[in-house]
Amino acid sequence: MEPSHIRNFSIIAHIDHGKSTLADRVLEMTHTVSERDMVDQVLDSMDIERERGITIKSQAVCVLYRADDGETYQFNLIDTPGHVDFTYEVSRSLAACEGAVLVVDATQGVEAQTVANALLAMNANLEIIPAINKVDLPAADPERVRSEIEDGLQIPADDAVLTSGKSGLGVHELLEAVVKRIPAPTGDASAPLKALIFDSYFDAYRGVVALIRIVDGSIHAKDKVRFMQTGNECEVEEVGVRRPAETPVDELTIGEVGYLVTGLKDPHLVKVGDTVTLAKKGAEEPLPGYRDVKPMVYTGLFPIDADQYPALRDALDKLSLNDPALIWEPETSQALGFGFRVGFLGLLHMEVVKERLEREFGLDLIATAPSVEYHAYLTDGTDLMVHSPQDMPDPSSLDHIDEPFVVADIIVPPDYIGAVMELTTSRRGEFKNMQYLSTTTVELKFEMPLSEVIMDYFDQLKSRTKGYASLDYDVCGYHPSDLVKLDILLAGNPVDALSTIVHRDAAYNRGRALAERLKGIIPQQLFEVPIQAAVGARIIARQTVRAKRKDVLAKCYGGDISRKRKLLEKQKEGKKRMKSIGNVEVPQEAFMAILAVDDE
Amino acid sequence: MIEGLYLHIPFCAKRCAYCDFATEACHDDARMDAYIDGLSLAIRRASRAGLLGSIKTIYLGGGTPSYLGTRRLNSLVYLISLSINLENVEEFTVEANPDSIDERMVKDLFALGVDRFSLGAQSFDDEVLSAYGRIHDARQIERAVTCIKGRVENFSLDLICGGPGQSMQSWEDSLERALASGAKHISIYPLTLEEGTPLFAQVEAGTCAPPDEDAEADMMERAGEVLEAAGMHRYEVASYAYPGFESRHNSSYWSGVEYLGLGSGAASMLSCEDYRACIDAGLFAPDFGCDLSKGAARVRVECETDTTAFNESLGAPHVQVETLTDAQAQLEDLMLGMRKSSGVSLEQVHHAAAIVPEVSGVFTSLEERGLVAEKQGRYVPTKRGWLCGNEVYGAIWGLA
Repeated sequence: MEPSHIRNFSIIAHIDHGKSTLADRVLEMTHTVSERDMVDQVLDSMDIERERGITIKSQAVCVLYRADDGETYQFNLIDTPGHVDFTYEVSRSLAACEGAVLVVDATQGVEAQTVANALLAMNANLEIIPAINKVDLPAADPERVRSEIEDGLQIPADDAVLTSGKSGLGVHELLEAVVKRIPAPTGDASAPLKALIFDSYFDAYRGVVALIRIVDGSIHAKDKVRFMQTGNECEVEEVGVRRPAETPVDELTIGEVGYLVTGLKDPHLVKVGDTVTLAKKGAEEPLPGYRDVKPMVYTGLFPIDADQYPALRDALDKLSLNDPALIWEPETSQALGFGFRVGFLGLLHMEVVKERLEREFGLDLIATAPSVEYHAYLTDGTDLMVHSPQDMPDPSSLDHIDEPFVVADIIVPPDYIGAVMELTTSRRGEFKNMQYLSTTTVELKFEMPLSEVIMDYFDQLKSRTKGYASLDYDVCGYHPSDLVKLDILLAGNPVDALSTIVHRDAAYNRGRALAERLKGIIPQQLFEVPIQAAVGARIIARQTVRAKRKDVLAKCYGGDISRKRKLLEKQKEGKKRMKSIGNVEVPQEAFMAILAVDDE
Repeated sequence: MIEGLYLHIPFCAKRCAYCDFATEACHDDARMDAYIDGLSLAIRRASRAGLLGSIKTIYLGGGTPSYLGTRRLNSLVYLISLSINLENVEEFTVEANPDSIDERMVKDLFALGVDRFSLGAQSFDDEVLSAYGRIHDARQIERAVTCIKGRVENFSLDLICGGPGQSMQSWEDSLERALASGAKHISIYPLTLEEGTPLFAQVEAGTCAPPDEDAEADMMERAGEVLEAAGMHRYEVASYAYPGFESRHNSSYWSGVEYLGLGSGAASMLSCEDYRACIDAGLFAPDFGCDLSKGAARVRVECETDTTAFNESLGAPHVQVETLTDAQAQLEDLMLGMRKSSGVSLEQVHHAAAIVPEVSGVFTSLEERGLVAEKQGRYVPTKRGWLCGNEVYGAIWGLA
């Protein structure tokens, strides 16, 4: 296809603004997917994505569109995730595009991720076409949304397209706008091949498959290619485009987006963000790659059954192939045995990964309370990274400790400013500024510790603003904090997996709340189980799970025997889901209890 | 050899608030007549097939057998006396509720061979009785006891502790009055909340407090003290008796003895051979899903609960069948044995360890945890082991 007839674009939006549904309509209108094969949210291929109605991975698909001018255009459409955790995926996708459709819900208006994603697109110098979606809903207010886009984002919205992903309204106008407003890709067809790898996945039969965008030159099956950053080489087994089923083509040329089958069996040989060129007479300079993504939240993942440890390692290995944000290292816990300390972009990312590990790989896992990366400076002049409460140095050897702070960007209706202030300052947030996006929407900026954000802050924010608030955050640096390690002792023994790092001022309340919550979670045992919260040697809270006095199936005659035996078998299954620590049986939820502690 | 016979009468005047047994409130005479006809046919078939030649104990339970009335009970028990040689029967129990037993019934049943009654008293506190949804009061219990004692000295009372609003004083009073009634045997049950019962719904709705495990534990312990002080001994988790008045029929459930259960929802424990013989005799419909080709140490059978299935014209009832391997049967015997004060012998554990080696370790660890004690060559439950019996049974059955 002539580059002048190619349009590469992404659809970006805040979560739930109808981006994937709108993408579905585009596929339908361009007859890429027959109605027979139309499943809701075609581009969301993971079970978890469809169930939760969110997009996690970027997806790329190639469609042909016959425009009103009579010409046929090739659209390469890249769907992107909307959640704050997956910003990195979005920026990866944008690097392969010339334009972006910014979808804004006509009933919700501009929200935090709308702002964040629009900024990413502007930074990538993309042409932005605003689309005000869900205009057929009774609560839709396109005029208000239009002014929010103009005032809040400084994007002209006069010619914003009004759409409905549900009915297909405005989709034709949107496609025409893509043709007219998004620039065609430029590149040098005669220069040596330069293609950007913006995603990849592993196929058991074909090895690593890379999703690429051609910048210069062209690529064909049987070409010998080199990955410029890693230096690895391979022979191209196949190139093609996704419509959305993978369809081989003879050649991919400038501006085109497609896939490349490498046949490489080791996932680590191909790196997302790398540049592909020809092995002989290749390009000299690689394309600018991606900045390496940094995980922000760390948690311990432990198999309930120790035999699943190798399976967990393999599963993490496979998942991390197209999820460069996922990093891990082995971790040993006295309480939980062998496992991994795993780094994530955020809590949703963590939840999704845990769920995929359990569902797709059949693992039973315990996740410990999430933590952030602290920088500890010791009195002897050395310093270390603390990813886990277990690594927290002894207070006597500690000079000071820094924790990561974020700028939290919250968008709410003005009625809830007070509620947001109250919650955020109670979480050590410092108010920075406030800006009205329109009369009904206001943007608040706070600086606050990341550790406070990952402690159910978002849930609290949602519940205190009746679901209206949206949140985006970005790490802005490290500042010293007075932090202590809060330990939990069960039956007198410290349980390493229940320790957390907290601010000294919050330790007492957190300790008390956590002990109380654990009391509700740990079932009665044959003996009394004291639960203590301690900072250093000082016990700051105590609760007791009283001993179980009675647990007996009293009536057991003829027919009861089979029934009661089955009951015992059920009890045994329940026990299997618990972890024996010392001689105390601890349910999985206990390790996440810290997250849901309301310490007020 | 089938030594126990259980006959189930699935009818009551009214279902109690806590009850989830196979029973129904029934006011349809024709339906009850048809059921008795069907049950009688099953007894005749079993007898003709020679399956009842070794019966030592008979138990007519429910539901409420006394609710059938004297006429139906007489005809059923008469049929039993023709089908089984009662000379060899050591114990023949009929369950009764205080509101549906009278002097006539006791005299007739005694004349036909019944020698033990089990009376559902549950409490001597009228308020507690009403919370349980019982349709009788304490006075009726005493009248029923007088009727029974007119012919039979061997009778048992059931008592339930931990009822809504029940105080320790009310419980102690019930224990004293049960002893004073002259009962030779008393069964003590803590109230359990079963899904689908009216009581469960009340607790869910918040109109009734859930049973308090600690209060129940206190009451169970108090029962032990009061009844033992009076000379009774606890021979099983829930059963107290004066020496010599332990229920032989119930004991067979915990001793690996074969028993046949007939009637809606009734359960049997049989050898493979006897199970096959029961099918041949038309007592149970064959279960084609059950593969006995590899043999089984024991077969547990449960009849469907549809009462009309016992109507003569409908033939043999469908059953649920469960087969146990030798190892499972031995573990089950150990588990059930530990319900009794006599526990299990070290030899029995040793014998089971030949096929399930871990079993020795389980007993050692139960002993270490204070749930089991070793006494004169036997493992017996401790007081703790009674109250937290599920820990003991679960540990043993967990090996199966």
